[in-house]
Amino acid sequence: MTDHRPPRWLTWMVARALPRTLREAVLGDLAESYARRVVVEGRPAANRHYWRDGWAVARSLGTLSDEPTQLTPPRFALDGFGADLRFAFRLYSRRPAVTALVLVTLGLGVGGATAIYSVVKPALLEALPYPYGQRLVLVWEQDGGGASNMGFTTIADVRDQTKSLDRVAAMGYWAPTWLGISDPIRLTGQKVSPTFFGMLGVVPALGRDFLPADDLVGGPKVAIISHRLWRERFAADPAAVGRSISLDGNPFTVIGILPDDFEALVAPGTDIWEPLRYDLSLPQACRDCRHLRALARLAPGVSLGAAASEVNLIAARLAAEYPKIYARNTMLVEPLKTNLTKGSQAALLLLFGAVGLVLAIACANVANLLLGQAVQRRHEFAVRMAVGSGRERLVRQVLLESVLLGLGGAVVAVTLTGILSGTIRAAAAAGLPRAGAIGVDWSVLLFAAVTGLIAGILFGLLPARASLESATDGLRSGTRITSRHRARQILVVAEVALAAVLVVGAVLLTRSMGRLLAIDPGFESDGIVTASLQASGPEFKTDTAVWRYYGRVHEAVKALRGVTGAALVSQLPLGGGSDSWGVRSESRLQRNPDDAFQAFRYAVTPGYFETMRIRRIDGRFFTPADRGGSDPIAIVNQSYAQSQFPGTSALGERIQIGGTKPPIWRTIVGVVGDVSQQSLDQPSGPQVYVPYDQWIFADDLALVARTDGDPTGLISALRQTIRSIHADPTIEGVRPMNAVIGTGVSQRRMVLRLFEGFALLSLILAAVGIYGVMASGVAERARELGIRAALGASATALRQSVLRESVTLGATGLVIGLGAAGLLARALGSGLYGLEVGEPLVYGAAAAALLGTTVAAAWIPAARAARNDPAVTLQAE
Amino acid sequence: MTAYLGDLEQLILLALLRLGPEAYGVAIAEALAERAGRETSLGAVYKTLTRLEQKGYVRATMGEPTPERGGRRKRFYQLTPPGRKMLAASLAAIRRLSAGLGNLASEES
Repeated sequence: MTDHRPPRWLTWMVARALPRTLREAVLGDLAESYARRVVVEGRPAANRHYWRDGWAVARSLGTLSDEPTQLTPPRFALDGFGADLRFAFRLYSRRPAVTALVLVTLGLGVGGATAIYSVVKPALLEALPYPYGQRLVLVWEQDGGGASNMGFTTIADVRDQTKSLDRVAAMGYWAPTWLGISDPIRLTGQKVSPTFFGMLGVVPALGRDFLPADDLVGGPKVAIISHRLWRERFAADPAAVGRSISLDGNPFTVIGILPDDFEALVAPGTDIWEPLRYDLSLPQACRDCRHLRALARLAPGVSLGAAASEVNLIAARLAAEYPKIYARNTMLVEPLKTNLTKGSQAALLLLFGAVGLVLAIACANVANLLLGQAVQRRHEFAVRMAVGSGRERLVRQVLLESVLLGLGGAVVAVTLTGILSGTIRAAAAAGLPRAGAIGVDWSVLLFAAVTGLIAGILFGLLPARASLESATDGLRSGTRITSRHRARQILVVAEVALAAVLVVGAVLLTRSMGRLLAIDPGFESDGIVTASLQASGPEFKTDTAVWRYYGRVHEAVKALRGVTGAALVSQLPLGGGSDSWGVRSESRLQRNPDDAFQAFRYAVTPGYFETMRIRRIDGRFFTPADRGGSDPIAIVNQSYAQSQFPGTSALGERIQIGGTKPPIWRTIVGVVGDVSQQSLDQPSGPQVYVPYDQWIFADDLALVARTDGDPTGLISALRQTIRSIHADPTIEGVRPMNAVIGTGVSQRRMVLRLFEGFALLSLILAAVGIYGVMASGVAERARELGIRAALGASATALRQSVLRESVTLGATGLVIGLGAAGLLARALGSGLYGLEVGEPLVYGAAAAALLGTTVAAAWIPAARAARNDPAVTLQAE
Repeated sequence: MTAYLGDLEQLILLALLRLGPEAYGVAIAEALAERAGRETSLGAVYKTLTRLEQKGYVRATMGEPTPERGGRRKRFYQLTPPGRKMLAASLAAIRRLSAGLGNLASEES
């Protein structure tokens, strides 16, 4: 299919420039002309026209209400401004190498900062993109430990009793399969209370919002879809509103389409919403099946604290009324924004700090380069002063040059950020809130411009002072320039010190990442391929049909060539699931009728433990004889066995999982090793396993297949085999288990990669700085070196004198930097992203990297010094 | 003080009359190009329409989104009664001024 939509970034820019009332109409007109032009004249011509028309429209409409203003600049201040400007450009073009180096250096420093700013801005700095974003809170139950979801009835009680929350909505997971299209797809959905969108302040762009009538049990089924789903699956056809689609075999009417800029922050990636349709008569509307999230809105003028204390009064009332269900429970009222950002705040601040250091190094480098120029320019300034140029005029000239360099650097920075923003967005999608909103907008542009200007002016003025001071004695040649060389040496020491901090940081992060990946997850991930299946469609209405289907998948995959073992499981370890149930043991209940606690529950086929290579501690694994209908059994993990049956064997104990009536007592037949479930760095907690067709309902299962060869080689065969069994079920996430684990550490990996990038950049910048100082130092000391050569100093001695200076500078910077890094690591503490104070080896490695850089950067100037020919050098005098 | 219509304002009002309910940005610009031989940028069209809207000579309504416009709605313009009166007055002035000047209009083509 050809896409006739105009370039998005251009649309975006034009949109910013248009007055709000006309924006939609003008963009629509432009898109319409564009689509026609693509067909007739081809895409390049259409792009060209779009670009020209877009800007023309923006220019003529952008100033719609403004009267043309008369610019009357103060004449005297700008006298000769044009000449200065021309002079500045001539100056740059005469020294293209230095100018380019300054621009690239500034561009990299400012660009890095801008890029990170563009990530941090939507994630941390901006308010949530909903009209009532500031007032949105999540309400959780807390049982002394972590926060948990709530049952429908609890949420309904809070909703009915609270005065401090003006809306309370429940949200639940929903993943319907869209049938009746050529390739059924599984949609990411949410079931929500009908007040959900109104609570956010979001109105569908087309169609209507949910009404209380849509929430009735047994009423007609309706859904609201995302703008993306509408574009991609309905070709943006307005007639999609009112259309009927088949989800899991049930007809749903699409009643609304959300606006393009709606971000599904509470459940990222959601494309479809349906009303929850619970009422208190349903079995899933209960208190102790905690499977819904509660999103609420503070009533106007009510503080978070006031809402929290009121909600906890309600919690206390509930606990008094239902002591078995809410024994120790309180409720937590958490701002939605806090909830969304808490997982990434530390990482982002760390990156922002790192990029600040890179910027500082870049600035030092620019100052360094310009200082080198200043030495060479003192002659020019001296001449200009001698022919009557005022001091202010010279200052203005230098200031103008700095501003131009700063702006140039900002342009390079924005270009870099623009190029990188797609990459950043993709990398950030893994673990950052609002990754979709990362991009270049006016505030990012402003950030780059201001940062570039400050950097340019600040670090351009320092050399300017030096130029002016030296201008007085500039016409004398061969004078001492020690003070400036000293200034440059100090800058280099600072650069090395800052780079050392970054390098140490990068090494520390690499090590903590290595430690994390070295944690034993409790199974062997190498050689495992996974796939998530969902048996939906008209033929899978009964649990028996689903179980039979999965049984056939299991047999077929086991028989595949290259597969050495296969099994199915209701949730993959480290796969993002957290299906946990209350578990009671018969023997402990006799002592305490309220004894129960949560454990992760896995419904598995025979062969699961063997395929995953999970350790057997005691008893046995499941066998094909453990079927639905045979005696109910279970296997528990070591943590469970040790905490519940300390000192005795868990084998033979009977447990009940969930609150079924009548209770199903399952006999423990085996104890297995702990398996990481939520993340590698969290303890696995209690886990229970049951044979898949002995569970109270048919789960959707994920496949794990082991091969001796390359797991990626198995992917297409797996897909084909599963598809050949039945056409309806969806197959997703066919990938090696190591990729599943990788997703869990992707945020860390991104931080690490960026940090490594910054450290490398800082090394390069420091090397450039050292090279610059050494090279000009050798040039300035030509006479001294020449005299020494004439007096019989060997080439080696000359080379070593240069290298010695460089190493002295490097070592000084290193000592300061390592000290600062040590202090910083200690101050930040071990809590910050696995950054620890670290062992001497870390600092040794950083020191080696920096000293190596120092020597390498000084090598060419040193060689030049060694080649000094006294006959030539001294003749110049 | 009597307001008067600018040249482009007059042409656009005429285009609105001609296009009827289908008068929106692109259609108006095309009508100007085809009928009046006047290539007019969208910017100029909208700027003039906005001015006419402020003077109360036209009013705008939003249409339905269409896929070829990336799901965006059209902004339809139509003459208001004062706009119609103003256009009539303006055309009458031209007629009065050009009366008796022979067939000037046909000389152009």
